[in-house]
Amino acid sequence: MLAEIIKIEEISTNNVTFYTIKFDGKSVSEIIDFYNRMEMEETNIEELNVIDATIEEIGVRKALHRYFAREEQDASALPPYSSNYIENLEGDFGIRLYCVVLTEEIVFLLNGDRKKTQSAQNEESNVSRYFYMANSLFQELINDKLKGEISWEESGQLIYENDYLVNIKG
Amino acid sequence: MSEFAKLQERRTKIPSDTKRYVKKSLDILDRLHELIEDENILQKELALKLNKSESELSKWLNGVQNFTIKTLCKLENALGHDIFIVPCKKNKTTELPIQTRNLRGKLHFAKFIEVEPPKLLEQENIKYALVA
Repeated sequence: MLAEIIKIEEISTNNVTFYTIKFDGKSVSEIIDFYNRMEMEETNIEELNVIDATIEEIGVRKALHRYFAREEQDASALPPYSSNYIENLEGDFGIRLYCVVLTEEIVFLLNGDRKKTQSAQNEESNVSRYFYMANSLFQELINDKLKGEISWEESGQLIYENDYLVNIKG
Repeated sequence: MSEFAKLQERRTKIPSDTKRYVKKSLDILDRLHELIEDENILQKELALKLNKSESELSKWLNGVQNFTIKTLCKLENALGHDIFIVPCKKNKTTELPIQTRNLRGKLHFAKFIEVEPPKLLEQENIKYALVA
């Protein structure tokens, strides 16, 4: 599926530029779809606040890998401590917002859900599509960089033509 | 209006205790990595000192696992430095950490050191002022 890359000016800082993607034909970007769905449940508010506060801190500090939960392969997730966030509910590993940390200055905020299985890679997992979306985006960006279709600077800026679309597999 | 105005608006509603929790959690991670770098200690060595597996230590160092006070104290012992200091009154102001950032945004911690007031010594008719 083809997706457009969108810079999130509203929360980007001098240290970190945040981006997201918007699939062809969808009315909202992935990060807004995530919040729209998660905000519907009152019980999600506390965890969403932790994610918001973590994104704000990352904007101040830079996107070091230790600030993200590593979900194997090329996907990262927020918040970093989510695996222990809700300790008493079986089959509830907390909310995961999947991200791609391209550099310490460039972060893609994508989509996610409340994780209900231990492994995101398990195809039956309710978060596997977001996990694979993040992995595919990372791979495609690397491939397109090699083809000269996109590049990035240390300042945190992605450089690409206006009509550039990234092809997300799966 | 951009759809991302929502993200800005959400930030205005984050409770201050949540901001504090996140900031302190990341501060602890930064401090831990800073000490490991400063002490030039390998993760393998640190794991051995703590009697933990490398994978368990990795979970702590990569923010996957919440720290208990007990864990933090074990890490402080193994690294030979404070990771956190509690500024209660009986600890005096001498124990208060000052957190600063250098130009690269790296976190540094410093603390006040209490020094003896200057003492005057008379030795062979010469007065010396001793300062720390």
